[in-house]
Amino acid sequence: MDALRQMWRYVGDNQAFFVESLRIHLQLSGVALGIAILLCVPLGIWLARRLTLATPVINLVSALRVIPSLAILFLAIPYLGLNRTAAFVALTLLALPPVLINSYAAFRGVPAAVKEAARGMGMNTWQLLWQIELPLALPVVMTGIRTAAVEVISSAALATFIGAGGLGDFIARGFRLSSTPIMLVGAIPIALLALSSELLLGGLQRRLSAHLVR
Amino acid sequence: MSVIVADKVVKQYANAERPAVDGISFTAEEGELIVLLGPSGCGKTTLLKMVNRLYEPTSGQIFVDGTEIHDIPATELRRRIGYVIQATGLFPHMTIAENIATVPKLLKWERSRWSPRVDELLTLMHLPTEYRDRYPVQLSGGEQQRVGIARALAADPKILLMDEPFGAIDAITRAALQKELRDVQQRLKKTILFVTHDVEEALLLADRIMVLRAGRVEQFAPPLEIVLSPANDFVAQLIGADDLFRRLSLLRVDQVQGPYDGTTNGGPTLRPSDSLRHALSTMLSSDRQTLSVVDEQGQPIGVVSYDQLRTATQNA
Repeated sequence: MDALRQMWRYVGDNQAFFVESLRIHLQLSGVALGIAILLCVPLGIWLARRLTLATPVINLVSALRVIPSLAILFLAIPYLGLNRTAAFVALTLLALPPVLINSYAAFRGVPAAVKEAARGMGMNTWQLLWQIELPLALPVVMTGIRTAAVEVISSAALATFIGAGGLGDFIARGFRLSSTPIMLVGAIPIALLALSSELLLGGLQRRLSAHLVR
Repeated sequence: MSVIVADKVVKQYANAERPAVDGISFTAEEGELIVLLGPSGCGKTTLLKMVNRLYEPTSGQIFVDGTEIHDIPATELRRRIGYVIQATGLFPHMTIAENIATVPKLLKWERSRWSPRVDELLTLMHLPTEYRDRYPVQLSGGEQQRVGIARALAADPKILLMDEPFGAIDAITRAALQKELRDVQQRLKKTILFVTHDVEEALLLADRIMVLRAGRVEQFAPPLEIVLSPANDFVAQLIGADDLFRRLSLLRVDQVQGPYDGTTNGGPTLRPSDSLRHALSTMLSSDRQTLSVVDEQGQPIGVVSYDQLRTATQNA
């Protein structure tokens, strides 16, 4: 309890810095996730129509997932330097696999009979995509986005090690000063952010798929 | 003018040894229900799907309502042709009303026009209009297929393509749906191409049956003709032409009945439109050799005897 009280006081004393770190953290995670969605959802749709190409690409991207977040972060430094761009790139790379794999699986999973019926009724490619495939694939796509969001928000804590800021600054600082309260100033908000993104996106997903499982 | 005309249609799939459809020509008249019948791989589904260009013919021409199907965009062609498939293919994320209104909406109908049309079609298919706002998973398989047919009829197309529509439905529901399809067909006079591998279904529904094997037409004739004079052994075997019950079920009482002889025996009566199979079963269950035939007012108009049935199965 004492640690929490000290943490609270520390936040009060460093309000401006805390708010700035939180903003950077959200920005890092949000942009990385956004780029991943913009890249991977269309790529997933495209791959779902090209089966021969899909398997090697999906396997490659799955392999990417085993590289630890920290390693990706440091691997980006030689090319991009110690700055926020490196952090954006690294975090985006982290977010790509879950979004891509789920988008691909989601669009593959739209029943062939449903697509055939839609084409047979006279829908063109865009109508099929917007009115049929996208709504049916969305719940599974959302699962991928959820996974990526949690991963990116927690990994953004590491951005501090390449000088990109974010809530990880407090964890690093607390570690150097052997101060649990300062570490918690970073750790607790990150945990809360990850948790709330999970809940928010999970709720959204349930709403989207409500009538599919009834 | 024939509603559908196919002229030497060929479909050769890449990597296939022989064409799936090997130069088939046929015409379908207005209000006619044509069943494409044959074992799997005979080309019946391929032929069906070339009519709405889900498959493109390798060569040959198909005319729908006088227009060659490649002279208009595929989407426009398909909106003019109702399409029903086996697995219903209902859109799971849309309500029943939205499903039925699919083609009207593609044709940019106003809501004030398609909304009453949805109720009309639900009623036609014997479904409660309260189903409008339900989702497909909330309906039974038979109800879903009824919605599938309602959806195909929504924009009042002249032509319906049905690809084994009752294949995945239990026997009792299937019989009910077959009867409904016949009733609907009698009222709406659509031109229907209906794919099935179920011989009973074909005999029950078809005005004409096209028997297919290996992409070629073995025989194209009304059910009775196919059963009574199959073109070759393949057709005879597929149809079960030797089955006397099958023959009896295709003949109607008014095709064999004798003149009314002024007597009634008080037993059960037949209607002119009953099948001889029904007549035989009624004779057996009532233990009588002759039965009276009555008209709609119950007035006797003829008689059918056991001997007439026997003659009918032998030399009809």
